[in-house]
Order: sequence, then C-alpha cells, then structure tokens
Amino acid sequence: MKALLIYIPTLAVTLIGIGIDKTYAQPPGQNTRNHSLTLTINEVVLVDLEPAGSSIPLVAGTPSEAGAPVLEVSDQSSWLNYTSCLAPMSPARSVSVQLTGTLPPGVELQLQVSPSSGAGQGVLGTSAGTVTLSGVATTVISCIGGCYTGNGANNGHRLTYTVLISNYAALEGAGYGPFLISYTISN
Amino acid sequence: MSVKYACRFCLSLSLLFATHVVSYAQPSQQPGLTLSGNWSYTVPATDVTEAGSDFSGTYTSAANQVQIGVSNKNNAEKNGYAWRVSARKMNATWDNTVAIYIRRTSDGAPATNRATTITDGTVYQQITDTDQYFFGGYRGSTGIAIQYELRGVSVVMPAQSYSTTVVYTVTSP
Repeated sequence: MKALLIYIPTLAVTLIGIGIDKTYAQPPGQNTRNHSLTLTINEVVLVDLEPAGSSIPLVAGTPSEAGAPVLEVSDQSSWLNYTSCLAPMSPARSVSVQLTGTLPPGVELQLQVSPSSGAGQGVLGTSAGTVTLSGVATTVISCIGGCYTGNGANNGHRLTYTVLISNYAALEGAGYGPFLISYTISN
Repeated sequence: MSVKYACRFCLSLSLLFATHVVSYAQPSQQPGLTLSGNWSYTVPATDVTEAGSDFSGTYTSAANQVQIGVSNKNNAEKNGYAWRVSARKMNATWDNTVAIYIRRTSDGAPATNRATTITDGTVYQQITDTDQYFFGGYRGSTGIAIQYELRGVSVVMPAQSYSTTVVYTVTSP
C-alpha cells in the first residue's frame, strides 16, 4: 500500500506533461507556392514583294549604231521578304517562282536572286542564283528555317529581271504583256 | 525492490518524459503563403503584321494574373509580422532567350483588422533560376496582384510550347 501511494502521483505528473505539450505544438506554415507559366508559338509563313504593288516596265533598248545588238534591259528595284517560323520536325521551306503569260518569240526573261541582306535574323534561305522564268514553278530560294528577312526594300533578297534576246530571227517589234510573276513559299 | 529505490526510479522516468516532451513545445513563427492563378499565353498568328517582320516580341498578362496572400502565424507584436517574398523559376522546357518579368500591381487587402505595409516589387524585374527578393511587408495581406511580361519572343524560335514553374517563397527577415 505504501509503495502504491508513491507511484500514483508520479504517473499523474507524466500524463499532464504530455497533455500540455500537445496543446502548444503547431506545424510550420506553407512558405513556398508555385504555378505554371506556358508560352505557345505556332508556325508562321509569309512572303511578299517590296515595294508593294509595283509593276516593272521592261523596254528593250534601241542600239545607237546600225548593226549593233538590241540593248538588254534589266530591273533590280524589287526585293523579296519573308517570315518563317517552323515546328521542330517540319522540313525547311523554299520559294518558287512562276511566270504567267507568253513571252514574245525570241525573248527570254531571266531572274537573278541575290543572297539575303539587310536586317534579317535566323536561318535565312539560300539563293539558287539565276533562272529563266517560265510557266513551270522553279525553286529560287531553299533551306529556309526559322527566320525573318526584315521588312521593305533593301531587306531580304534583291530580284534582278533581265530581258535577253535568244533568237533575233524570231523577234517582232511590238509590245507584249503584262506578265504575272508569282512567288510561293512552302514546305 | 525496496520502496525507496522504486520511488527514485519512478521520479527519474517522469523527468525523462517531461523533458523530452517539453522540447517539442515551440510555437511556429513561419510566415505562410497562398497563391492562385497561373499564365498560359499563345502568340497570335496576326502578331506578324507583314512578311519580313518578326513577332512584336513582348507580351503582358493581366494586371492580376496571379494573386498572392501572406500570413504570419505569430500573433506577438515583436517584429513577428515582418516578411519577405522572393521569386525564381524552375525551367521545364523553357527557352532562356525569352525573359520573364514580374511586378506587383496592388497591395492586396489586410488579412486582419490591423493595418498592413507592403513595399517594393512595383517595377518589373526579371526572374531567374535563383531566388531573388521581390517585395516585403508587415502583417498579413491577401490578394496581392502579380503581373507578368515576356520579352524576346521571336520567329527564329521553334514553333512549340515552352513551360516553366514560377516559385514564390516567403520568409521572415
């Protein structure tokens, strides 16, 4: 009995201590939060000619001396601009050119596409150099990746048109045209 | 066992339990943080206005795109209410040529009936992969509005989705 009286108060003190402790204990606050941020870019493809809406008059020059050839005529006032944004697995893009209309007999129309220049950035296309225009679409710029040429004249690829006499015997003295020259950018 | 030795054993055992339990009794002074919202932006195709041009490149979210709340669990007026919020990003598929800027566009509302103070964070600052101080305050506030701005988006980037996680952390100074 004497031993029993000693044990009971000791046990009671221990239990009280546990109860008080649980009242004060609090977990730390959540001090970090986060959220997602997503940016989506879709494919873009645009091409145009500068100056906009211009037509190109090409008039073969008259020689100054009898027996001299007809003077070739050229125009290099036009520029080709494009913007291209590609998905990772998409193939590179190219630009083709096609002539609509029938040229006079003995006459050829050549197009020279210069390398890109100006304010452009990215993977700009590679020029095919000089081609003879026809009714068949012909690639003039290839390997276009994600890029922009810059907008307006003096940006992108300069276009030089040249009228050549391929057969003097077939020439006829008359005006011809207008002819439509179309540029298409595609994958 | 004699009664005397038994008592000493019991007293030692009680003290052991009391000491062990009291060591856990520490009230928390850790500020708490809540957050709502996120931002997902798709560049419109019309953003390129003419062939040869790039994207405009800079895009801004709503002024309250994300809202943050700060609370402090210490109710004692002993500098216990002061807190600081920092921000960083954790890239998943992000392109670091695009910079992310954040700024605070409101003070929010007091979390209690006591006046609050909020300072800094109202000028756009770039967030990086490292925690950087954003804004601080005194006492809890709710609905602190956050605005985002993306800079440097370009057509030379691959056309795809890019994602990151923006992380906010509140601490006591």
